[in-house]
Amino acid sequence: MPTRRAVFLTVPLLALPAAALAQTAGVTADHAWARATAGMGRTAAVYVTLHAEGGADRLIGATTPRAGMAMLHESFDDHGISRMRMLDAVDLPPGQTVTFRPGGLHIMLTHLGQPLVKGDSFPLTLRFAHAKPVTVTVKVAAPGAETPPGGDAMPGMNMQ
Amino acid sequence: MVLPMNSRVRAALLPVAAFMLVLGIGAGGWLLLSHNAVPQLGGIGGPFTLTDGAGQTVTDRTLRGRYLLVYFGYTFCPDVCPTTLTAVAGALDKLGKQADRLQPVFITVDPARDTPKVIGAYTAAFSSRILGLTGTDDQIAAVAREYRVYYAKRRTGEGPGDYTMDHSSILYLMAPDGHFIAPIAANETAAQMAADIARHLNAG
Ligand SMILES: [Cu+2]
Repeated sequence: MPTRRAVFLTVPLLALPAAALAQTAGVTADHAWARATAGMGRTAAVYVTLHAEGGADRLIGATTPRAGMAMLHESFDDHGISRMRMLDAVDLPPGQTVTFRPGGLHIMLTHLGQPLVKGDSFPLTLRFAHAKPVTVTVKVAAPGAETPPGGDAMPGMNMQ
Repeated sequence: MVLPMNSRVRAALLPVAAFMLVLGIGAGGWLLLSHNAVPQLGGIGGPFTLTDGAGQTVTDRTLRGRYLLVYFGYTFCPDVCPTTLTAVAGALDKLGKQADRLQPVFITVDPARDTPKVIGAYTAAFSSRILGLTGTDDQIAAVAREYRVYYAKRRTGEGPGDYTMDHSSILYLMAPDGHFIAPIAANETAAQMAADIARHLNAG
């Protein structure tokens, strides 16, 4: 199971640019965002775009100091029933982009220490089967946002 | 008139279709009934007694006289439910004055965690016009049965609160007299939802 207790980050947090783009041996991770928690919500979903530059890799887990637990999850519709399944890993085929987005792949945060507020940002460390861990800055959008918080696209980067 | 239906809507209609088959009514009959805006055969909906965010009792009778848009979910749902409730809030905006005749209702399938205070604060985060309702286990089971809604708990860990809920991904548009009008898929955009609702409001 890909669940881990939150640990303090071992990767030093550099002054990350507004749209954090992290790159290490093999996997890039960018456009990391989450929705603000609604009401007294104690869960959140994080979305991120991953790209395996070199060979095939797999996302095997995530941690953040903001939540007691981070699980790899996928929402799916099973004949009119909305369900979520836990994943042990998410395959990252070589050269392909894997986009986590509402209604599909997400990193589910539970046991949040504090609610996520629109405009917040927080670090999330992604662990891979092969590549070194990557820490991204997660930007918090409005409670029901469908896309990452606007206005933070890096020049030349395609936001949709 | 061609009704746009995706797979989840079709799934929701299976019980209706089965019932109509028993009565010997085919697809043409269904379309005719749909066109009449208030099919009496669906059997979706019925009496319920629940509690709102302020702790007040709300029943199906309390809500008579307005169209209802009924959706079942839970507040610990971080991915799908916020998308749907945001679409509902967007549809209300798009409907403008017409939305005065419509009351969206969000009923939790997780009453253990969704106390009145929790459900009220949750729906308010999307729109103050969405009514959040909770109840006892029995009250929730009863209203889910009335609406032919499926829900089930799935454990995600050892702790008492470590679970998610599977739940039907359909919204139900109900007439001011409490009768079922049409299903609306939970993954529709605000614009699609507004158009679907407006069509029925104008017909009725
Ligand atoms: Cu999830």
